[in-house]
Amino acid sequence: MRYLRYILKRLCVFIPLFLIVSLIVFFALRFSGVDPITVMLGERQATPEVMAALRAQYYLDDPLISQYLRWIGNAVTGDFGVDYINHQSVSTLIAQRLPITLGLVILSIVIGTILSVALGVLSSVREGRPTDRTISVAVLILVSVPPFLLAIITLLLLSVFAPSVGFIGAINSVSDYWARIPLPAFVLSLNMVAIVTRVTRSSMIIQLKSQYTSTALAKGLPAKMVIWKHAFRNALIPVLTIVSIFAGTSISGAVLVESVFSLPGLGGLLTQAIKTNNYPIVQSALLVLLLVFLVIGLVTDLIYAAVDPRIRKSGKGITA
Amino acid sequence: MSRRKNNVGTLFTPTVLAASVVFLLILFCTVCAGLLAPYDPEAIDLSSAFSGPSPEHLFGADNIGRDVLSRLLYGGRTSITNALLVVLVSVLGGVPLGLLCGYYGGWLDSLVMRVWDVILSIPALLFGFILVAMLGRGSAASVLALGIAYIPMISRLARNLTSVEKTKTYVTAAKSFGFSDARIIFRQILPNCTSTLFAELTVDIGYAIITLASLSYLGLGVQPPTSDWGMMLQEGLVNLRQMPFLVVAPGIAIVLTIVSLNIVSDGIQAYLDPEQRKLPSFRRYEKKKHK
Amino acid sequence: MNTLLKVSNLKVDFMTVRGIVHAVQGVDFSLNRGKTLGIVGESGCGKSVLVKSILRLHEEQKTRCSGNILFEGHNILDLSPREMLAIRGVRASMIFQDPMISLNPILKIGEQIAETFRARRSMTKGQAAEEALRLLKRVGITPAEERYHQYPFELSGGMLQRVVIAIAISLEPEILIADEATTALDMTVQKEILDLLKWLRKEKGMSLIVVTHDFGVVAEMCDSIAVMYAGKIMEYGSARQIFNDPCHPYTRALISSTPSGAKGGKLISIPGAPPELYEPQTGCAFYPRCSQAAERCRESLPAMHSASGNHVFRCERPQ
Repeated sequence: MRYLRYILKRLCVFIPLFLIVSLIVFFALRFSGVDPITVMLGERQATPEVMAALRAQYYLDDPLISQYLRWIGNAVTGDFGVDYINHQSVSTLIAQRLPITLGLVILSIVIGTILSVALGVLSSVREGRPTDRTISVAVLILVSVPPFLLAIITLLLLSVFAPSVGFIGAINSVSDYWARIPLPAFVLSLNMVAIVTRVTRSSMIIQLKSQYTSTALAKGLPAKMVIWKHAFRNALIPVLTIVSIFAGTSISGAVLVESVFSLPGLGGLLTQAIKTNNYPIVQSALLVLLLVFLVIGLVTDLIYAAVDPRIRKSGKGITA
Repeated sequence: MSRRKNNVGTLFTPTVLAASVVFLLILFCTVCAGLLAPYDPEAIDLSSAFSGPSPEHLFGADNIGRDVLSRLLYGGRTSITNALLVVLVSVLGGVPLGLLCGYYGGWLDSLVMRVWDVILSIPALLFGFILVAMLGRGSAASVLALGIAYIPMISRLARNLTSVEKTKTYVTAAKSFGFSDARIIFRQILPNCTSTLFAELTVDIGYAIITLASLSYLGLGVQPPTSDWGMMLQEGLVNLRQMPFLVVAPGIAIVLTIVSLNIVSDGIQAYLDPEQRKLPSFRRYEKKKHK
Repeated sequence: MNTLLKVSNLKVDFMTVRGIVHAVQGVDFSLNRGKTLGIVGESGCGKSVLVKSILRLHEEQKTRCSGNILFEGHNILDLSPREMLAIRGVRASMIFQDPMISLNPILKIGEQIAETFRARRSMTKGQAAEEALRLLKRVGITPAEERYHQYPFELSGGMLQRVVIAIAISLEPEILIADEATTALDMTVQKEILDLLKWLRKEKGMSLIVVTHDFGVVAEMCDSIAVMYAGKIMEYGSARQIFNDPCHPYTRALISSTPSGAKGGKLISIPGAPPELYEPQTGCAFYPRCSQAAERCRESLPAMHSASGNHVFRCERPQ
């Protein structure tokens, strides 16, 4: 019951947040000073009648607020309109590319969380010993390498050691998908591994020093149980916080990693659209990426509350 | 102002010292690119395209024969100055706002912090995309975009530090002397927050280098003929199979710069918070003491 | 002999950012089956560190222990982690000062008891829950069925300390260590908890080690008393010897600074604070605060003197 109420409370925060974010995305683009008509026409010349027709087709003469409402209203039903240049359905463009970006992001978060929890816990249990110091140094270096650089290094290594592995071409089948996604996802996860390992380690160290850990040891629990059932479950809360924040970095990173591995995901669509000022695509692709991020935040909040009874009671979450 | 001294270590541990030297060296080399670079970074010399290291081209030349060392130096100059500018923008925007919010609290504080909550719920690079789409592409726009994107983080930190500092005795004392609010905020509180802010800014320079490079890599940052490390990576990737070094060189430059910044920042934080510091072993400690 | 625990020349050092703390500097005592030992002293004098080393609850990387803690002939300091498991909970267990932080905040009260039964007595889930419920009732928690499913933040301090006690005695240890177990509680609850401990001692024949800064508590519970200061035992004897014939100035000062010890007389607090233990002392550690101090107290470490029988004290100028 309490959990259900918590979910409702979080949704009450989630929906307005989503709307505000969509407002920011929409209005930021309107204030760019680029006239959509010049984008649509490109090099071509057009008569005033044609231009007026285009303005009407895209409702550009309506007040901004009603343009926004039309966009967000249709977006909720999954209709993002057509783009300025090729007049294709933006929804179709996004739908084709979303699975790749989404798979990349989710897989990288899963891989990243598992790896960093393992490393962080190991590091905290061995605090100050060689294992811990080695992990710390590795993490420091990893944290300093941007994800796209890691991706490039991976490509470089592949070109040397496994030149037959190809990373070009369309993804047409499920088997293509699973052949192409995991490696980039792993590469994408490495940055997160670095940060989350650090957080897990320091959070675990605090928990391992806390008094309830001593109680658990003193009552005769085996060390493994004290570490995982007691310390780790408490340490998980800051870890989840950082994972949900890192989901954002993961999404940004996905844009770059897609580009390095030439994966046809949302990132390429978005950057190409920014370069050409193709705003229907820019705003909708951004909105979808931000929605993915907010949903990941919501999911971590729910896990968070499942772990900690105090959160269920207070109704607070990680994201605003 | 209390300087926390203790007998286990100081700020300048050998690691931190080494990292500072490395960063200052990189900074020097790139800032003085004009003096140090042997060639014009844009000078094309097709006859030496893809040439390996030689006395003429110490780091070789790229696909159209431009000197890699010169490009690395000039590219670094762009990357690092732009990153410093990003941090400057975020400090100028964020610190005064954070100080005011922290010192006065009230509706201003709640309002600003709520706005930051929303903005921070947008990942930095995506927020950068939004601003780049709004401000246009290019060096200045991407610097401004990222500078703005970093304001919430900095001002939130400044605000939290201020709201802790303002409860301390020295502030109460300054108030009782009748100092003006402005004097208390900027002359008393700000100096006490600088070391923590500095630790954060050091990391942020690193983040800014990465994010700017990402934007350039995607073609949304600096535009030709200007070049930075991100763009060099993008160009190098095209020629990966012919000359991997074109990717390796800017890659190493980026990593080296950021690792050194991160070590310095970690060092400052460990210095400010002795609890986080690694303790020496009993044997090592006692050996040191007996000397 | 019925000696259960024998501690001899125990030294504990800690590494901290400010240097090495010599928290325990050569302590000897023994504990007989079914008896209660009180360890008394101000905070920061090493009593908690001392008892924690009996269960080896220190962070091993930052701690250095030497000497012997003999539990039925085995030195606890030499045991492997696996062998420690046979000690913790089963042979000796511990109650900590603040019940608010002694329990895992995110696990149900009942689960925190039941898990021990499952892990150590290989009980099924149902058996363990039943046993945990019985234990909750025994330490006086009502309504036990309801409390079983609550979280620590939903219970009062006194209730929580009862839960902590239930946890500590769940595997029926021979020694129960109570580290300032009543300090964080208010007076009436304190009394209830002490009564519970006394009852358990009688019923189970447990040996108790009571660590406290409050002479009132030891007066009520203990057979023998060790007075600790700056990592050393200053005076040791039976409760009667210590109360009727305190030999060390520190003991006398402590007794007259507690309401029950002052016996209607004036409450006198001890001026000054215990020393920080970064450097080994050259003279008597209590010298700066002692009313009977003389020049030689500063210069040389006082030796242990015998008053009568087991009653010993570490002072060169007793009254």
